[in-house]
Parts: sequence; C-alpha cells; structure tokens
Amino acid sequence: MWLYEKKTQYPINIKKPDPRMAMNILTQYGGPNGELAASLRYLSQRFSMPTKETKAILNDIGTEELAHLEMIGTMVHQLMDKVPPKELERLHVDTLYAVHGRAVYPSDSNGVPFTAAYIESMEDPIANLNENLAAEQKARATYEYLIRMADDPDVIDPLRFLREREVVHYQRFGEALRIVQEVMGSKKFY
Amino acid sequence: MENPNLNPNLNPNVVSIYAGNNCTGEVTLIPVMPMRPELAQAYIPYQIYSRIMPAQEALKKGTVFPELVK
Ligand SMILES: [Fe+2]
Repeated sequence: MWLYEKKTQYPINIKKPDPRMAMNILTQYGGPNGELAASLRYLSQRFSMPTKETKAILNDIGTEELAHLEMIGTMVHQLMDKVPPKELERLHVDTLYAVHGRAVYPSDSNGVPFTAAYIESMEDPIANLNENLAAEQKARATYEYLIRMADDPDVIDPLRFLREREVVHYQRFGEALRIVQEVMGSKKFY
Repeated sequence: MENPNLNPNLNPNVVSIYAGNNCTGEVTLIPVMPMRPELAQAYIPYQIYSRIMPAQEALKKGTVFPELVK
C-alpha cells in the first residue's frame, strides 16, 4: 500500500503559460519513455525479482516514478491552464484541445494514447533489469531534449531534477543487476 | 572470510549489502566491479557511499550523492 503526501516531490510553480512546451512535456506523462510507463513497468516486474533487495529497489523506484508522473501532470496543467482556445490555435496546439480540451490525458506529444505495449514484464530478472537500464537512459535523453527546448527557469529546474533522478535510477538498476548476477551466479537456469 | 579479496575490511572496493534495515540481516558482499567478469553480461560499478550533501543542496541537484551528479 501507499501513503500519500499532499505535495510534489520537487516544487513546481510555473507563472508563464506555454502551451507548446506543455505539449512537448506531455510525452513524459503518457509517452513511450514517460513516467506512467516507468512506474507500471517496475511495479509489475518487482514480483519476479529473486531477492528482497532487488524487489525493494523496483518497488521504491516504481513508487518514485508515480511521484514523477504527478510532477509532469502538474507541469502540463500549469503550462496549459486558462490559455484561450484561439491562442492554442495560433500556437498549433489546437488538435489536442479539440480532443481533450485543456485536460491532462496520458498520451505522447502527438496525442498517441498510452499503451502497456511500451513496457515488458518477464519472469527473467536479468531481462527485466536490462530493459530498465535502457528505459532510464531513454528517459534521461528525453529530458535532455526537453531542457534544450525550454527557456523558462520555472520549467527547466524541475526538468533538470527529473533528468538527474533518471541518472540515479540507472545506477540503482545497475546495482540490482549486479546483485542478481552475484547471488545467482553459481546456479545455472538452463 | 575465505577470500581476502572479498573481505570489506581488507579490500575497500567491496561493498556489504544487508537484507534488513540499518545494516541488519543477511549480508551479501559485492565487489565494485566483478572479480571474474563473464562475456555477454552487462556490469555497472557498485557505488561506494561516502559523503552526502545537505538536504537543500540535494533537492536542488536531484541526489544526495555528489559522485552521482552528472
Ligand atoms: Fe526513472
């Protein structure tokens, strides 16, 4: 079970709406390398991890990714909030408006809805951990693209925080892989 | 401790991992890099914990570990 804290993991207070940036950041909500995919991937895979420590690593990171999902949703909402539809049209964000209004919907920046096909969960923990290393690197690269496009410090600061968390997660999945290799190294499974 | 290379007291490049909280429970010893690396496996060096940053700085950076700031 979870305990909820009524605040975001990193403070988000965007004063200047920017619907184009909202649309770009949306991919980290419901896109292929986004936070929803990350959380569901790790929280599903944790059941097949072979040791307590590696179960805990996946549980902790999967939980943190939910907090990141909340951060990204907050950013998209603040960047889109109260922007007049005519302005959305001028900025070419009107196709998202036509489908969802200014709501936060789990899709990528092109409006492609979230799908569990973005993730895998296998019984083989080495396969899972290799996927997770790749997932963290892809998320880090995505945040680097977003940081290059952003120019408001209120947007850049939380994006930099999220990017650094991906670096730390990469390290932790690498350590989980090492634990699995060391603990199961003597046994052969085939 | 059969292998002195795997003794964290003799080898600073070995990390002890505890199954329980606060260094309790069964311990697993992990060298920073594997002693006998195998082909067709990926290896990430294990982190050796040293100093941690003050909370305010850590929140700004996104980690408490200075060696992980990239
Ligand atoms: Fe992550």
